[in-house]
Amino acid sequence: MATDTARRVPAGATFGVLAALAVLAALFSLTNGAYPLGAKDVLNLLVEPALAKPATQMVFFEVRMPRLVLGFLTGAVLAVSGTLLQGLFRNPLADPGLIGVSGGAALAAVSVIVLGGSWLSGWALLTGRWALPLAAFLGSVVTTLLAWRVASRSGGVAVATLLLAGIAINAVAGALTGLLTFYADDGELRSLTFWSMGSLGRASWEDIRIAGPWMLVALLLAPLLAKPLDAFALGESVAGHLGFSVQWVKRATVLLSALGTGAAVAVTGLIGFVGLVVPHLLRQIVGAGHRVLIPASGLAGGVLLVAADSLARVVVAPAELPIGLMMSLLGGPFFLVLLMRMRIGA
Amino acid sequence: MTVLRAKQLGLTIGRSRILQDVSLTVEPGELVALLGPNGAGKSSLLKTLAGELAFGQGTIELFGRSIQQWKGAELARQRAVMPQRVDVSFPFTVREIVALGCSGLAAAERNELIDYLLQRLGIGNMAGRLVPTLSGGEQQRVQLARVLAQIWHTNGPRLLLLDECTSALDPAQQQTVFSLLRELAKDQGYSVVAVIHDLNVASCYADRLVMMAAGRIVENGAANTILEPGLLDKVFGLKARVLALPEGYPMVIPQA
Repeated sequence: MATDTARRVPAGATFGVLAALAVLAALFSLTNGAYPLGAKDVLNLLVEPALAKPATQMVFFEVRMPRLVLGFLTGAVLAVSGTLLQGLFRNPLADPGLIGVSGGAALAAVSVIVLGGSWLSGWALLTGRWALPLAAFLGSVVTTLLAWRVASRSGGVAVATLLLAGIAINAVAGALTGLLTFYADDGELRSLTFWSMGSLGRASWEDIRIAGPWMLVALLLAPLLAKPLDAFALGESVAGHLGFSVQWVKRATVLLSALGTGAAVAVTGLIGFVGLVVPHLLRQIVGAGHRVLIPASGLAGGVLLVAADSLARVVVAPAELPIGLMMSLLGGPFFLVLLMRMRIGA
Repeated sequence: MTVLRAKQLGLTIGRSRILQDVSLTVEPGELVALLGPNGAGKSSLLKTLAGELAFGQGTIELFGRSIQQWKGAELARQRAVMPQRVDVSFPFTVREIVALGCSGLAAAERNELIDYLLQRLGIGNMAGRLVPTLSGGEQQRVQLARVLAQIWHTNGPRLLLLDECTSALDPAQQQTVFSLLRELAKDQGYSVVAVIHDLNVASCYADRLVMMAAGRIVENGAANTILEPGLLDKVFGLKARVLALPEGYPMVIPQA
């Protein structure tokens, strides 16, 4: 019987390995791209930035660094949101896309791209170059609230209904997005295709200033939900018996993941799979306890996205693959192999 | 102090009346068995007492205070609930699950309590196993350990609400569990309200039997008065003989 004892990597070792991987991924990301920058240059730039050529400084501080930071934050927030929602729905298949976050963001973003010159010109004028990310963010929050609203009963929110409402809202948002795509001209089509495939290619410090705070709030508050989400693994009513305020936990979980994911999607476009794969994988390594799982997911999500983004720049250099495409290309088959090798749910 | 006092409870879900005019009091140290055919409202009554279902009529007082006035976290220190079925959705270990009931304890104390409870319930060697890989009976005892841990170190009156907490256990394990529950009631003053299907288990261990049918309490009293052929036939449609055992409690023998 004792042979069945769960094999787990201790939390300390996991965080150590993830931190080391994060450094490696950061270096890989900083030194790869069209402009040559070696590990030695990076070290010099960090120690004595003034000595470097202006072009080198520019590439390092204005292109590579923001891209690294945004990539890491986005990966972390997508993975943490996935962890929170899987915990809430008690289902390893849940991810931020499921409650309408990405569907709403996509619809809003595509609306701005296609209708920005006509019906939505007022919005475009009002928000300037932030028209698209702001719309995407609002779109994700509005659809999530709508799903929440539909699932609300007198006694609180029915989690299963929330899931179904999310699916229905996603379907409607998808159809409307498709309709807009149908009316788009070639230029609009190209830019909306790129947005829906996700990209960190135009990351700037301004993106981080706008989206970063939301993502940070989500990341920093998520660990507070560790204990109640552990209790949720036994079901809503048991969590209530254990003394947790069930409605509060549901509200906080949905709000944090919608805020974080909405902000991320707004500046990077749609990047799938991170929120699904990372928590699932880590649960097999560190166990299901959220106290370790949430921060470990954040770290691993950041590492994964930064690494995938670097690869996306390398494989077809000097061009680059959209990161969302890259994630699905790598993540899909990897996940399938994983599923075939593991007993699901064990 | 009366631990639980429910007065004239009424519960309606949709159009069906689940509970009608249900009144029940439980004193410290009492083990009360809820009996009745399927659909009689036993689980609904338990859920209502646990605060899970909002009742339409009547009042519930727990430890002298109306149930609406209790804060969840406060109540959780004095009252623990075991639902009929708990599915663990992720690969948690047995120790992690039982630890959910041990909030507020330091690690050493917590592990000591967990090991002790698992030992008492006959699953002492399983602390490191993943709960979803365990058998139904093992999982049920893990949940029971969690429920017991929740109020183990509480001082003062404590209440356990148990819904068929031994339904997946063999007779010997059932004996282990109910002996432990009776010990807790007698020695520690626990109040226990347990939905029990096995009439003889109820007769053997419970201080008082509460017989329900169609959302009402039809009889409430000692085993000798409740387990009586006429009532069993009326409530369950069960044809049975009832033997008075020398141990002092009756035994129900269904007729072939």
